[in-house]
Amino acid sequence: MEKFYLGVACFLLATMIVGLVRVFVGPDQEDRLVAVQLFGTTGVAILLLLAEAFDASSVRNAALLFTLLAVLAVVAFVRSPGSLGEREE
Amino acid sequence: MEILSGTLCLLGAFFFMAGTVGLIRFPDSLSRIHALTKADNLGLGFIVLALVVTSQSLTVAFKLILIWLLALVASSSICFFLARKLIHRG
Amino acid sequence: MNLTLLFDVFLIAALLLVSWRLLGASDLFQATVLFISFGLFLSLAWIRLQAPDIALAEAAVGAGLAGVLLLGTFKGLEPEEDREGENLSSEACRLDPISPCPGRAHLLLAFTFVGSMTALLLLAVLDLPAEGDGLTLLVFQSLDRSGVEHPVTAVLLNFRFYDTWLELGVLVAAALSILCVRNRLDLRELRPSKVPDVMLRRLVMGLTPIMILVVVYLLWLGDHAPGGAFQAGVVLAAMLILLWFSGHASITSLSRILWLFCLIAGFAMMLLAAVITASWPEMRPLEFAEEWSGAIILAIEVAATLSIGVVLSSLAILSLGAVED
Repeated sequence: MEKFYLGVACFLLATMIVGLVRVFVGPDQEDRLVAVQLFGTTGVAILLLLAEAFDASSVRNAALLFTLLAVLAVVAFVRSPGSLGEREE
Repeated sequence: MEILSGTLCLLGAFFFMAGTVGLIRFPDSLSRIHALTKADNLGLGFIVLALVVTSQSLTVAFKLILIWLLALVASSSICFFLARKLIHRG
Repeated sequence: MNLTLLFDVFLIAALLLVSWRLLGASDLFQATVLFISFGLFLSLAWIRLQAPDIALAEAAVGAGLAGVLLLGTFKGLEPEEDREGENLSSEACRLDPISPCPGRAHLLLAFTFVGSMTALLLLAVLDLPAEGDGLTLLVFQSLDRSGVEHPVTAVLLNFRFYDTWLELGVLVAAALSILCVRNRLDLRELRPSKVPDVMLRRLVMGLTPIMILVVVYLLWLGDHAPGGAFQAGVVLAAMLILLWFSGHASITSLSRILWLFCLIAGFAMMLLAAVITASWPEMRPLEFAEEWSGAIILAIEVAATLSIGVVLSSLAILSLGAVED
């Protein structure tokens, strides 16, 4: 079973690498952030699979931190002064 | 039990792949955000379900489900903020 | 092919690809986003290197906090978006469009330096004993006298007390130096304006109790599992920054004395432990008695978490808030 989880984790890592294209190309700044958000969620999935494959329960805490801290980066971008003029009133 | 877990895992991986393909191929920023939410909700959900089915203890299962719920809340809010900023910019 | 090898190959390819594009990024925002993705991949790499403590720290700092700090710093540097007439950036080969491009002498010097450092590192790695546990045996022999059960925490807060102490000092120095750069005495003028954003307020209201729980959980974990003061402090900083973004005053409402107290709490607590053990008649400097070491380490970790949280969030708020003036 561990080998299977590891295989799925490899596949997810490959999708992450494919998703890098959007970070490189993506015409808008939001596109790049959306791609990074996808990396975050895929990273959570990979971490949970690795935690099961290598039997390391502390890795799940890293997944928890990925989730929580991803919010911070996007909120910082959205609330930067360039966008303050467009807040909903 | 293991076959069930394996199938759920493959379903989750399929949704992640679909999300990534959507991210690359969709023509518009907003539709890419839409593709992302499918990967977040369903992809992660199926993988968490697969791990819960074969988890050794109840605490681990709860922790996995908690992580999934947090990811749901976090990523939906993030996609909302990004989409709103896109729309406001015109 | 071995599956772990395949995973590692993908990971190394991703890291190299991201860092290559990062160095050639066309504007500072893209560089920041690439830096965040680099942090995510690096966290996976730390897991594969069997260093979950560092993976936790990298996930927290690289994925979240570094992005915020870089965004805040670059906003003051990046030229405005509406300066369409400037064509400097299309010809510049660096991120800031004003300085000249590096010439051949620069490149030669850089390659020589990098090449010799890489060669030295390779020699050092090849020189390591092929079958060695490093210092693991030594640490495990003294682990039961250290007051905690997790070897990394024991090393950080007992065996190598000095290093952690001086690292906390570096954080205090960083906070003070950014005060000088931004020409402020404290954070009190940086209160956020009233934010009419309902979604953000609700989200942060829901996340804050969860983040407090995670901070306490990581702090408690540090005793016997990967975790500890630094990771907990970074999550605390993230929580304080999110509160500030959603309109809550968070640390900007602290009086100057209280804010400075929080800044130096970790450093001061360790200094106190050092002074007490150095001047008490029967004790030797920085040697904790066995029955007290667990409690002392816990006290130091709580103070350090508070310090790290307040310092990092102050750094972020000072860089982000000051640009709005």
